[in-house]
Amino acid sequence: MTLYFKHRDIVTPGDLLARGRFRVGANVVKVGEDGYYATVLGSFEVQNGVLSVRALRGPYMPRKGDRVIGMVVDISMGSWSVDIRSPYEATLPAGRFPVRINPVLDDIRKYLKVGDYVYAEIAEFDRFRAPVLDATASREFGPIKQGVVVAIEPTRVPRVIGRNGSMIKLLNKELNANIVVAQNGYVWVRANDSTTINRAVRIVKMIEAEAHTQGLTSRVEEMLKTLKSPSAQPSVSGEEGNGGSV
Amino acid sequence: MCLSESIVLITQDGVRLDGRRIDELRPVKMQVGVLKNCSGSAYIEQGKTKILVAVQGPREAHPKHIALPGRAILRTRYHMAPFSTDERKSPAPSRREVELSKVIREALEPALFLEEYPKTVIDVFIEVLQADAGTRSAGITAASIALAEAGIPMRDLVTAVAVGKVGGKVVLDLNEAEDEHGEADMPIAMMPSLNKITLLQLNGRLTRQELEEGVNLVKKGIKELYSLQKQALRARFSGAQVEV
Repeated sequence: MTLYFKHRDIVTPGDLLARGRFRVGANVVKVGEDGYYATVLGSFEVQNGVLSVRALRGPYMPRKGDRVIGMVVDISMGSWSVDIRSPYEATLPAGRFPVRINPVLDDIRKYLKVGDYVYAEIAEFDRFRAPVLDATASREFGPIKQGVVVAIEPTRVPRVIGRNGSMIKLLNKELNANIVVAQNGYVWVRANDSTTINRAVRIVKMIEAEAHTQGLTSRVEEMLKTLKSPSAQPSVSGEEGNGGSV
Repeated sequence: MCLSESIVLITQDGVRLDGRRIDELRPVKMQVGVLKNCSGSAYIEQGKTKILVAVQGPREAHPKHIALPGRAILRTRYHMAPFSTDERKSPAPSRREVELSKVIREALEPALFLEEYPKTVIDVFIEVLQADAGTRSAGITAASIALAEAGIPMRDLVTAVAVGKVGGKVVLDLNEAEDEHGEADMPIAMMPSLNKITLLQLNGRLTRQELEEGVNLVKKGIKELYSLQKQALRARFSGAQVEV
């Protein structure tokens, strides 16, 4: 039972993490009798004998039950095709839209056009079937009509949410905004004025950039303080086209 | 063999044209995350060889019928820029480039967990900006860190370097002159941690002993390159420690 790395060290694919008897968690493979190797670039985690690596970057893999934000890319008779930033394109059937639609009599374009963002849940997904969205399960689901949607790296999502949602709660309370972080790395920011939205976007971007560092919460608090001070500088637009206002 | 008498590629005491010893690599520089509009990217300089690699995907395979139900397909394109060589190279893919694309794909494939992304495609674009021998091996070395930066799961990085026979001696990491006037050239790619060879080609003739000597020399070179690859990947996220 030997560990070759410390908890939270950065490891690269092919790094021998440990030898002995452990359990295999995410992004770890066992090779031979007792060798455990990392398969992605990320931070090493050991917990109760389970070895895993938290990826620093990577594609978003849909999971049933995930709440995601997607952009409508195509419309067919009874459903929308939605880009959820994963290798697989999702569909949102008209029957799973929060409003009752009769696709035979109604033009579903009235509810969602190409380019619109929609917030929904992944209802079905497996290796054989493309993801199916459902926008009826919660009242929050449906077309995004106000606020701003920005894109962040999907692997950084847990950090922006914080443990049990602590980070997002802090931001919402301090900024008086309503920020929704979707599992696929889209962040939806709503607030009463554009200054607040800009501040929220800047902080979210900062958290994304520094997601892998320590002492993030205190730095976020500090940034909140400077942003809220009366001499706060006018905000910069730092969206670089990877999101869009709605 | 056809070594012209006027060129001395290696002196009696084992010093090469560019001043290296027989077991020395050319100076190597690697960087990861150099491009914005792709999933992963890398840049490598090995001596005068300069290569840029971009990775796209996994993304949906188009046209649909090329998709495989059980795994992702890996597509590689090895391409030399028209300005990468002495004489202008036609930008159209040559016979050699098509072959190298295939060979590189087969060197990278064993390392990747392609079955994690069924029905998708992963594209690897290898652009040779300046060619000075060893482009396929440098391309593989760079492609594997670009794939790692894209977050695609893999058993190990793939690292490659060539050995050759020059003036009767087995030497590591040939440069252009040695490649052209030497007696043999043998590029090898490995998964270093797993000690597995994924590519071995030989152009020229080597005795059994020379081949073994060459493989050992390659292992030494690959060890150095492997640690540089890891350094490059770690540097992408410097500040190293992670907290949750």
